[in-house]
Amino acid sequence: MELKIKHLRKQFKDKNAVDDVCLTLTPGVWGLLGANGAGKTTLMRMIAGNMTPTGGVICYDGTDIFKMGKAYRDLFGFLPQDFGYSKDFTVKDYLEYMAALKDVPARETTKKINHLLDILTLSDVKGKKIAKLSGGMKRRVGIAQAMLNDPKILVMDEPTAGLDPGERVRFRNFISEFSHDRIVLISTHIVSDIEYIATRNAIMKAGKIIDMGTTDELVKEIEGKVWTCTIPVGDLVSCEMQLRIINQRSEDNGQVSIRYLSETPKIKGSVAEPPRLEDLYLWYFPQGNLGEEEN
Amino acid sequence: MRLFRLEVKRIMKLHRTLVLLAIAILMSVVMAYLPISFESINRPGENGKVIELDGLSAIKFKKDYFEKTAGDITPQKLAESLRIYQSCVREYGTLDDVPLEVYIENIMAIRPMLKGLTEAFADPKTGIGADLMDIEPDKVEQYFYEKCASHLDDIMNLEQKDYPTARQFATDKYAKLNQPLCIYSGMSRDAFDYIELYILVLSILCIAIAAPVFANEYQTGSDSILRCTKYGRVKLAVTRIMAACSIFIVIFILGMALHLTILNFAFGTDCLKTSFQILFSIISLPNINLGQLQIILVLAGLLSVLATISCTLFLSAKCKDSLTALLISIVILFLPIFTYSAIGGASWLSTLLPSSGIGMQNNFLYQLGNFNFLHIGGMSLWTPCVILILAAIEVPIFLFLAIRSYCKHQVA
Repeated sequence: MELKIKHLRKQFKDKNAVDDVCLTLTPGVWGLLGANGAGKTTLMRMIAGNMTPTGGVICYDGTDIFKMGKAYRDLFGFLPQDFGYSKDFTVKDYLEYMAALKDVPARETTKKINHLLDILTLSDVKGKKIAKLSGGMKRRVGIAQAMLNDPKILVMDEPTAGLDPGERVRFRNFISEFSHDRIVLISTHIVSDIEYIATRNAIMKAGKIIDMGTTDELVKEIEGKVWTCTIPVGDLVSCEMQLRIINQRSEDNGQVSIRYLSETPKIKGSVAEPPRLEDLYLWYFPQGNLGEEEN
Repeated sequence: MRLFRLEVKRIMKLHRTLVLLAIAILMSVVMAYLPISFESINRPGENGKVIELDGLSAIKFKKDYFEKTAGDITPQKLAESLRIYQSCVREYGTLDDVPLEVYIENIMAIRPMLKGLTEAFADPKTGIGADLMDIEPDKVEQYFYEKCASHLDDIMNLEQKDYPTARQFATDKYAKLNQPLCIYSGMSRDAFDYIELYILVLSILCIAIAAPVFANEYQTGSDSILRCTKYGRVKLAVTRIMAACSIFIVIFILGMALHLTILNFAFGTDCLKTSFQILFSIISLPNINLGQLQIILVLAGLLSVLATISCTLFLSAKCKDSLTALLISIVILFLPIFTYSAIGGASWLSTLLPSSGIGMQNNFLYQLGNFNFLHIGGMSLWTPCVILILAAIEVPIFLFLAIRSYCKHQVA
């Protein structure tokens, strides 16, 4: 099973939101990283079949997804960045409605819904209107609908936005378990959410895939470029001007411990640190150069 | 069927739908009550005082009072009534000078019958109605219905001078009229106007329910989830349209049934046997009675509402937000009213629109009573037929376009 993206392009007036993207998604969790405006959402919309590409094709096991039509949609689960719903729906009504749209057999629907509500700790609110739920709960309802049909391909745009740390951990474990023999593509800004569960990651910048690989492969690229050191608080401002500080922590005696990115150590006493996926993200997308607005 | 059931449940659970449904029912009652409340009659009471009866008591009084003149309007009966009228008026000078007791005793009961005489004996050149005092009862007795037909020809010659096919259509249609005409006391013309007005109200309410059907999903972004489900494209669009239309039909039938039940309960059902021509014009073309007219108005109204709603559903699938779809739909609903008033009659522009049969002067009832024709090539088409045919064509066209627009919509 594979989802092959070949030379995919999407142009909006004079801007290439997705520019000649080639990617082969295989079973496992795929992390899609990129700053706002990198083209992640546009790419996901095209994979979802909600947006027609300007050029290129997306093939599921060799067949163009736009030609597959409902056969493709039958295998597909999608959670967009903004989870929209009819405001008078209760959680249960909404999921029943989505189950009918996804052709989940009527006799299995209740069982399936209850199972997902259990996993996503939504059982207590199933009779409540979605509009009255907290942001995190709404997000979990969105996740539940995406999984109702046991999709072979699951695409989620910022699924953990609004979830608290405990919910995020549960979500990660759930997705990790769910992803066997399935393609799960997750776009997120919260790098730690995919760092430990992503089989592979793709990094998008200005509409292009600029890097791809497992977390270990990717972080290797910045090995020896992540440093920590301790400086006096008074030097912090000047260091911030000169260095790409990615973390700082106050210490005793007017000292501050900083973690920064650099080809070479810039401060005496700097110690090389093992890189993490977040470091790589910040390496590619330095603060202050966060790209243009999302399409 | 499962999706249809869930879609109906979804729409019916919307707060907006429930409020609009309640308004539809309330307006049905209010708008049936109004023409009943308009009914009034004066009659002499004890000590020579004039008693004014209103509403149901006025209707009851009229029903009892007019019972003796109810039935077929034969030329003999008309001529006899005219003789009574003329002798009475001659005795007192003018109609205004006739004392109330005498008027009620001798004239009031025959007045509705005599109304048609002024039309039938109108001036052939100008169409201006004749004075009842100038009409010879013998002539009425000899050829009243022939005079009606010739008056129709006169009017058609005045209004459709250049269109012989229109004149021929009217002559042929009038020739099929069941004679003699019938008259039974009860139903007022206001009641029929209010049926049309209620259809206009129902159209506005149904538009308000229909406008968000697709556009609201675009607005909230939920369509990006719906349209990537197995049945999220054509099947969802078809189901939504079917569910919405089913709800509109039920609302329409419920509302109209309640409205007509109240009217018929108040005015009675005997009056439904009255010929269309008695309540409107003696030369009107439809060969129907008021009971049949009610049914025709309901069916034509339903067709027009469905055409209007289909257009709204198309706009809903086309526009990015509900408000835009709602506003454009309201403009389209009212456009025939404005164009009809602006042009001063029926035109292709006012008749082509899906809501052409709904409104004020342009409504289907008035078109049935009028002699409006639209001309294409050598053909002349009577506007009620055009309204119905176009509405029947527009329903599937707009629904097809709605489905297509929804399926082709690109997530923004």
